[in-house]
Amino acid sequence: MVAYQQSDPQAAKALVSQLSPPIFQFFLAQCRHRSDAEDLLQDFWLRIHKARATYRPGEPLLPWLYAIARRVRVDRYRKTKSAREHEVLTDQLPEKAAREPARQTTPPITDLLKSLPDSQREVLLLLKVSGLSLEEVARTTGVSIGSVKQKAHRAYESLRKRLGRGGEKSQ
Amino acid sequence: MNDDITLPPVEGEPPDAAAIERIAAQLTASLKPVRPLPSDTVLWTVALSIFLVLSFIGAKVPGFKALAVLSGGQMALYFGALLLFAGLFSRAVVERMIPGSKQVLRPAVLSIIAMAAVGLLVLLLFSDHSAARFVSQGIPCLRLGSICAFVSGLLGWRLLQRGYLVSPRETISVYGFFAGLVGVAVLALHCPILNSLHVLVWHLGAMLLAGLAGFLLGSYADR
Repeated sequence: MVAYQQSDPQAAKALVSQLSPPIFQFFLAQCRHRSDAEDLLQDFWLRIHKARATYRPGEPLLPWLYAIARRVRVDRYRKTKSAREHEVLTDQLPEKAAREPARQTTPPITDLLKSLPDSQREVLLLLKVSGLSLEEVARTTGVSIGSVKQKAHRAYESLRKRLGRGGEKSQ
Repeated sequence: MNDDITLPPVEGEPPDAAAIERIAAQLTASLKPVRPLPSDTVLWTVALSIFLVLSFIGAKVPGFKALAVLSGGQMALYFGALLLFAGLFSRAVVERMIPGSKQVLRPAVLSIIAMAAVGLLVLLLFSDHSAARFVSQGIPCLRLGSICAFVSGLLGWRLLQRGYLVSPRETISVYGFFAGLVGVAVLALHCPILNSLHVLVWHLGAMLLAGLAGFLLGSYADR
């Protein structure tokens, strides 16, 4: 990161190739389409480039990166939401596809995660997918460690309930 | 390079290799050396210096008339409280300029505590509670306080621009209160009216107005 700040092109390339996969996973888990996650990844790197002076050597890098990634996602969410509010339906909706026979007993993990409130899903993703520590998640999201623990606990409870319900239905 | 980080093993679909190459090419095309922001202590000192210098200059022009009527105890308590909150507000601003930094102070809570604490102190320190010539004496104070808050807001904007605001609404609101506190400090040095109602409404009013302006600007920037 320091070499990137000093305009070393090799460092910039290495940073992009090393950090893009985990950041992409962070976006992908919160997007409907892969192409959206790729757009977010591009936007993320442009913002990192603009904000690179705000990284100070010696400070933890992951909270800095994920705080910016989080902001990119929030901005995109707002933009999409506002665009959706202004959309006008012009075409007929396609007919409903024939219902597939139920094969899965429990919903896929991505659907389960998407059923969580944004703040809980985000904390869970940062802890379990991105592998950040409680302290790093607290720095990334700008809340206390206690609040991170509480959100994670609620998310686990909610997932446990849903998984239990899925299991009951299948019996 | 970035040997100070340990990344967890990544599972799941990787991003498109061509997209990564494209991004890397975009970044390297506009690569220029940048100087990292100074430490929190330096930024905090800069913000506090803005407060002290502007308060001094702002009060020097119309005159330090309050110093002639305030007792030593009143000065120590009132100016001490203003300095304390200026320090806390500048710390809260700096915490929000650096993405992913440890955030100890909550801007909304700090703003409420500052308004309540300074308000209570004013009620305790100034025993005159009359409302004579309330508006005619108050408007010039509100005007001077707001002008000083506006000037310090403009200067602080330069400082804020060096950071990357992950929460513009919170950051600009808290900076608004900080700028408003400059207005309160100028009036504390200049205004010789030791009437609690006057200070509460017209002096602290400048801080409230600046905080509200910060909130509105921040909300606009956060859209």
